[in-house]
Amino acid sequence: MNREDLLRPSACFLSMLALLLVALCLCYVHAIYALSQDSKRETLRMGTVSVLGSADLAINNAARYIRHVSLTDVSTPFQDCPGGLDYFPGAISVNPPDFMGYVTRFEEVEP
Amino acid sequence: MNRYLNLLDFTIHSFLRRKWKNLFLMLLFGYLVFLFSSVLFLTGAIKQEAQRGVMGLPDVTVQKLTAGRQVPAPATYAERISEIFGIERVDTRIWGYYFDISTQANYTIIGYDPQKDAWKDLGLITSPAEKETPLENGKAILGEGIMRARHLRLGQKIGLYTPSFSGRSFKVIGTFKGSTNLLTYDVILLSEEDAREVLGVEQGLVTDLGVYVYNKNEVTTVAKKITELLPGIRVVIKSQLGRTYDTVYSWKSGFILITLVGCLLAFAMMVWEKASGLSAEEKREIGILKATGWDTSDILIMKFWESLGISLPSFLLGITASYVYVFFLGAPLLKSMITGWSILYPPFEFTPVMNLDELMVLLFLTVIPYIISTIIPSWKAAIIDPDTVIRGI
Repeated sequence: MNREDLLRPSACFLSMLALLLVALCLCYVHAIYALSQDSKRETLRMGTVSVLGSADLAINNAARYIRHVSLTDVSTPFQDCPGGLDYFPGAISVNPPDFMGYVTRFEEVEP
Repeated sequence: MNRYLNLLDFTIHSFLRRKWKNLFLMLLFGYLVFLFSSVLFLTGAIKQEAQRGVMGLPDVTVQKLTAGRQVPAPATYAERISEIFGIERVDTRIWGYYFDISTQANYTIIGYDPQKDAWKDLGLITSPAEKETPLENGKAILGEGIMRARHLRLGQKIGLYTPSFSGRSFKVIGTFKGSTNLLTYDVILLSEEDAREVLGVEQGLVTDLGVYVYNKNEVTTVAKKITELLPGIRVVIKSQLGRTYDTVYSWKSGFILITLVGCLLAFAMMVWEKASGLSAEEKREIGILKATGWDTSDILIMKFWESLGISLPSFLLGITASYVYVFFLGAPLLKSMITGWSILYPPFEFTPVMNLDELMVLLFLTVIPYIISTIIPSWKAAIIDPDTVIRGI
């Protein structure tokens, strides 16, 4: 390939496309690497969840009834099921799990 | 090969003749992809964060209900459940919430049996003197958020009120590591007896019970046996909790995506407009090309390059920009929309996640329709007699 070929508009375009693809691939590799690095904290995470008894994220604690979306407690106003209806704006919204056919009640599952 | 490159060269020159219009189109396209992929990236990361903790949960959680509301369960339930074949162990749990007037924040108080040593494996930050001290009565381990909110340091005391308004103080012997902030930022770990006193849980009662099963394939069967053994209880199995996280955060992302439907509709209108026909100028261009000897296939290849040249770089740029926005810049604005807010808001970074399935869906919803909507009207114009097209009849 001579110098003129390299300077054609098509060559510039394809190079740009290749660069963008490489950038996306780098993002993907970064995601895999970050996940593998984070896996080193897995033991710590499992240990913490096991001691706390809950894996709920501590990002919504402005009201106690949105702190644990997967568990109800004695002070929760809506105690129908885990992930009960949330009316506090801190979490925007949390849907009742029965929404769209999702059932939280215990049901026997055929093996 | 050279033929295709020549066609591409021609397409790029054609593109540059209408560069401002095409650049605006690329900007719009890229922005749309950026918006949708940012929401998908962020939601995927939150779901991943929540789901990864699920494995550490008890296989079955048992709660007592009276008149449809949850009430403390008798601790004797643990012995009765233990009699069921296949149960590894039953943990009684005492936990609840504490509203702190001074900081206007809610803490989660968790009682922990001092006999168990698992808390030592948490890699807590402790003062050297307290390193081997068990979590006994009068001592507490705090989340980083509470340490900050109450301006506490290790070795100092934190005062809490019991339901009878008598004050109790606890020596802070450790704090959870910052890497567990997402789970522990608002947590106070006390001995079971202290937690019972602060939360007002009577002796002989527990908040709920965590059941561990030897054979994970039998969790459902064991859960059924528990419901038969103890009427008036609620049984939640681990997989249900996992699904709850998925539902909760998928719902939130859906909520945000609904607000972006306007953008999608605008994009759909643009695609529809293109698919419904070419402009007179574009038709004339095709007519002239046909008249000068171009094949219909040449024109279709040129139009393919044109649509790909606009949509694919925009798509790639949109995805890459959203990845940088979410995982390097911390998704300002969007993060608060999805994760909400609170007084004790933990500083955290999400572990990046890139779900190829979602990206493919996004590709098929944006790039492919755009290419099709460009090629079909061009093909229609290319098969008409060039003379008719040029004359604009």
